[in-house]
Amino acid sequence: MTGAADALIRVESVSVAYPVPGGKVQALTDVSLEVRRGEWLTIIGHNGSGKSTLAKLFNGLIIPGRGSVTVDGLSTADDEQRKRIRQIVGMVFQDPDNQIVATIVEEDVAFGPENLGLPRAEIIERVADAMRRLEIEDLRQRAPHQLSGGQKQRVAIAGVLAMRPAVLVLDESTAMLDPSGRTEVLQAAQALHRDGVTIVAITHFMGEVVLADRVVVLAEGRVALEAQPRDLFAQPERLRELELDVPQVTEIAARLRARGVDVGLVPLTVAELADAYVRLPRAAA
Amino acid sequence: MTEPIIEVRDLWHWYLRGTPLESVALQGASFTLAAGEVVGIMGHTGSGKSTLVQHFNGLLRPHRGSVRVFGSDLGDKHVDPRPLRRRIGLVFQFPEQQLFDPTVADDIAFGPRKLGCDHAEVRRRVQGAMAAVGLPFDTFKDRYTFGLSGGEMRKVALAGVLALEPEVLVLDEPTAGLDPRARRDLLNVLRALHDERGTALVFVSHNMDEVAELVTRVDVLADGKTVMSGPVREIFREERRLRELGLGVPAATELAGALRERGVALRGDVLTIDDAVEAMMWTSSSSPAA
Ligand SMILES: Nc1ncnc2c1ncn2[C@@H]1O[C@H](COP(=O)(O)OP(=O)(O)OP(=O)(O)O)[C@@H](O)[C@H]1O
Ligand SMILES: Nc1ncnc2c1ncn2[C@@H]1O[C@H](COP(=O)(O)OP(=O)(O)O)[C@@H](O)[C@H]1O
Ligand SMILES: [Mg+2]
Ligand SMILES: [Mg+2]
Repeated sequence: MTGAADALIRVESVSVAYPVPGGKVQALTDVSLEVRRGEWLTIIGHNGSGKSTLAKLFNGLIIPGRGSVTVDGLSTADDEQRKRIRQIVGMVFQDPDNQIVATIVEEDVAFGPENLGLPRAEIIERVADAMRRLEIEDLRQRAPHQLSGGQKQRVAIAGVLAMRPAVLVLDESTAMLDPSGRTEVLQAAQALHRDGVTIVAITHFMGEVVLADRVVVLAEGRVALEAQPRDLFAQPERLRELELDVPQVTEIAARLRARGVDVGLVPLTVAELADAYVRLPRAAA
Repeated sequence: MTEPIIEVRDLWHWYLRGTPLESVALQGASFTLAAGEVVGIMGHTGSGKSTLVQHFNGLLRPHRGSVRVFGSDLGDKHVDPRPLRRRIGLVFQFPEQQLFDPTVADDIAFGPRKLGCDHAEVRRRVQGAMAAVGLPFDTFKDRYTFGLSGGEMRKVALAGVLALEPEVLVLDEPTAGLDPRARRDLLNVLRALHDERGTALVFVSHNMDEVAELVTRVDVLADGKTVMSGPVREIFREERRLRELGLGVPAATELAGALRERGVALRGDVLTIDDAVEAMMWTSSSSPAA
């Protein structure tokens, strides 16, 4: 499915430069892409390739020097629309400690809707709904600083969700988490995605990229590749040129193939590779 | 046996001690590092890893228990920890806590200058450290440290500590936010420092694959206590225990488990990609046809 009707965010011929001493840094150059309603789009690319800059364009934190960004048809360059756009596009960042404002979980989740000036009953309803969907109801009265990293990130996501965004942008939201925290956050994102929330995920973990419907690769401020995960990971040399990599299981399959054991697919998960391997005919040595 | 470089026994630490918000961060942690060792520290978020490693160069002082580093007793308030900081380089978990100078090259040069290196030596170290972390010197030397991407900031913080050329490197989640290439390169740089200069390494990480690749011994913290300690191969045999502690095993180990569940006989411990490939090659060439 492609085409204008599906595009929730549309980035057209955008360039962004940051001023620095003695000149400027070109962060994005002539980037065009769309985020489609209901998809899980993952953005990867080397450090400094422009991912976070792109994310900040999506909700009008940065206005492009050249080109245009529209969200649900609203231009981010239009000051009147920016508040509305920030509600449509919710953002969660890397550090679980820097995103929480209140001293009690429930109050933190309510912070956004309260700032919208919504009626009390609506706030209560939204907070309860967001906490239920992130499975943090049992933490409602806890102090955020006492929570694990995964719990804190789910509180941060609940706070964003209470704004009823159409898109959730996760800019390396799992980077600081332990393995169970990462799993918690990714499972929560998958559940929201199933319920129709559009997900834009930025990550350096190739193992997480497999969750995407579609992947955009940035390199030096330009779109270098766009593909589905399996097609992307079928190109390990190209990815390495772009300073990226393939998931560990994909790499294992590639090395087996190079040594004459071909499992017959580009596996993305442990289960896929294990299943393919046991199906191989065993040759006696 | 020579005395360990770092020896921590029954360490306790409280934050906001004596206030209503007091909380205990360490309650009986222990740790040792011998010369030339490469040790990993794992543990759930909030288990006390960062609190523990900040004791290694005297940024934090023990509230209870003992911390001895290069023979100095850091529990003794009269011991000045500053000389230790030339020998033990600590890379903080959050790079922005480590960057002070307005520009990248000055920030990285700060340590070597303070060590009394002459101009040529400072330049050599700054260029070497920037090359090691993959920051092209001419592009980045005059950039503002606070106008960088997340990964670039991390690289500057790493370079600043590498430029000290310390005997011991303590790295608190150093690969978080690095792209795959930079991650791989950093692991190679660390391995080379260890192999060529004998630098001892303490590697705090949530990334099981990297721990498996780099370290020989692992300590696991949970709720401020050291709960597991041993050779990396033995630690990653305890998959169930690790999962209960909020951790996991490397992807290659997970794959080996999945294969064994499916009736495949694999030889030995599988921790890395190389292990997995070797074990699977061996099995596929030696098993009788089904
Ligand atoms: N505030 C700023 N001032 C000046 N330059 C900046 C600023 N923020 C980012 N840049 C530069 O813009 C480019 C893109 O940065 P951006 O943060 O978008 O990268 P990124 O892909 O998110 O990287 P990372 O993977 O390290 O997070 C980089 O060259 C970076 O140095
Ligand atoms: N500066 C601080 N002030 C108050 N509490 C802190 C501070 N730093 C850490 N803590 C608390 O101490 C405990 C251990 O934290 P930390 O050492 O950062 O763990 P880890 O590095 O394993 O995630 C956590 O409960 C954390 O919230
Ligand atoms: Mg970024
Ligand atoms: Mg820490």
